[in-house]
Amino acid sequence: MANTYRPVQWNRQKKIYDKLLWAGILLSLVSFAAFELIFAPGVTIETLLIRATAFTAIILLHIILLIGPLSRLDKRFLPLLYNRRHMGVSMFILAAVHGIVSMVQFHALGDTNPLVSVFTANQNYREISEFPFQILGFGALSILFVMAATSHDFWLKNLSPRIWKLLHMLVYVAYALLIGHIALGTLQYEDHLFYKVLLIGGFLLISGLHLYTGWLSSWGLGLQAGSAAEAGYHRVAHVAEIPENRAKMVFVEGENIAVFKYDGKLSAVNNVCRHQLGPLGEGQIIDGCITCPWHSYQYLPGNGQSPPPYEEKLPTYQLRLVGDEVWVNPTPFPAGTAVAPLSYPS
Amino acid sequence: MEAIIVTISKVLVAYLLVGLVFSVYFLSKGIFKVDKDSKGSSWLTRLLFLPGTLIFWPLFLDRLLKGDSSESLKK
Repeated sequence: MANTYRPVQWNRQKKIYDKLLWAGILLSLVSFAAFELIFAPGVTIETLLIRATAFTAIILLHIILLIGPLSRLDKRFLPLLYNRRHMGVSMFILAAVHGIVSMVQFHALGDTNPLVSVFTANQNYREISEFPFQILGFGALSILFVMAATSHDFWLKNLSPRIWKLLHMLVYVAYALLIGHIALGTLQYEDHLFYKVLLIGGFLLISGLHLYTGWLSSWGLGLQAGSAAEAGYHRVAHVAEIPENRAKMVFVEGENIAVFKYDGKLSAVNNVCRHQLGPLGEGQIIDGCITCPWHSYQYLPGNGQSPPPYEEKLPTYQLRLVGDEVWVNPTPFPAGTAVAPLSYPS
Repeated sequence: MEAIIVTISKVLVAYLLVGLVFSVYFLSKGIFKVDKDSKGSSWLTRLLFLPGTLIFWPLFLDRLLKGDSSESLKK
């Protein structure tokens, strides 16, 4: 919630998350270096650094891209989603070390400016085996730099959530560039099956999971469209289908709505957190407040307002009971409008 | 090809240098005029905004010249 900026809003979970994250990163770097030294004992320290950071960074990028769809499929993955931006910045640091050491190693020893050399040292665009793959890596690193540089809440607020989200969706462009960077670079001279399986398997896993979760979402929409509408209301669920202190999420007429059940009552708010557009409906009611699963931003279910002194507000919606079913009117009330919670017979 | 790359890299370096000069003012004073939540933030925190300011400095220059803040833009 809005407050004076700090470098990191630390809490116990974030500290544990970061410790585990960096323990994993160090384990990956050391393991990769050990394997390289065993199977390629003549490798130089610079090459070792370039390869180990590249390997760890690409593994982390895969994990980052998998967290979203996995947490939609199974809530047990949600803890990974929490503080994902620290994972992103850590991945950028590794990628930057890889890029800088590579530029020093391969482009800084001549008379040409290293930056210019990256683009001009090899201009053989017609040969796949000779393609200047470094340019693709440079493009990906530039995108990751912009994302890491704007990862703080300050940027979310000052660029606006819509632009910020758009900017950070560029991670998929960076991923595509990195697929090309690896396929046209390392895979052209590394004959290990391991690298090929990692790249192709990783791509299939990421794209497959994204397509599957997208299909599940559209399937839900299709079912809903088939339901009978009543006075502009749309069916959400049977009351018993919504777990206590949890929500049912629905997309109706372009509105992303979360219907929460708590203390014998039901309330509907917009499903998108004002902080980083997190899915509020995947969170729960804690201390009487809807709590975002991403960064614990809180809102009162009855009016969509963050508790004082915070100022964030969500649009709210009118609910109606039809038998034992909850129905919602998708026309939103202005953000922060109080709507009397709907009581349901126990 | 090389001449184009050299020109682009010079323009890029110039853009970042202007951004660096702007950032010195912005992160020490100007930021408080465009974002009320930055008041009371430490130097270390504002230093974290430096890389992004190097990229997006025209946005903040425009806001400072117009006297806009992110709060007023939201309204």
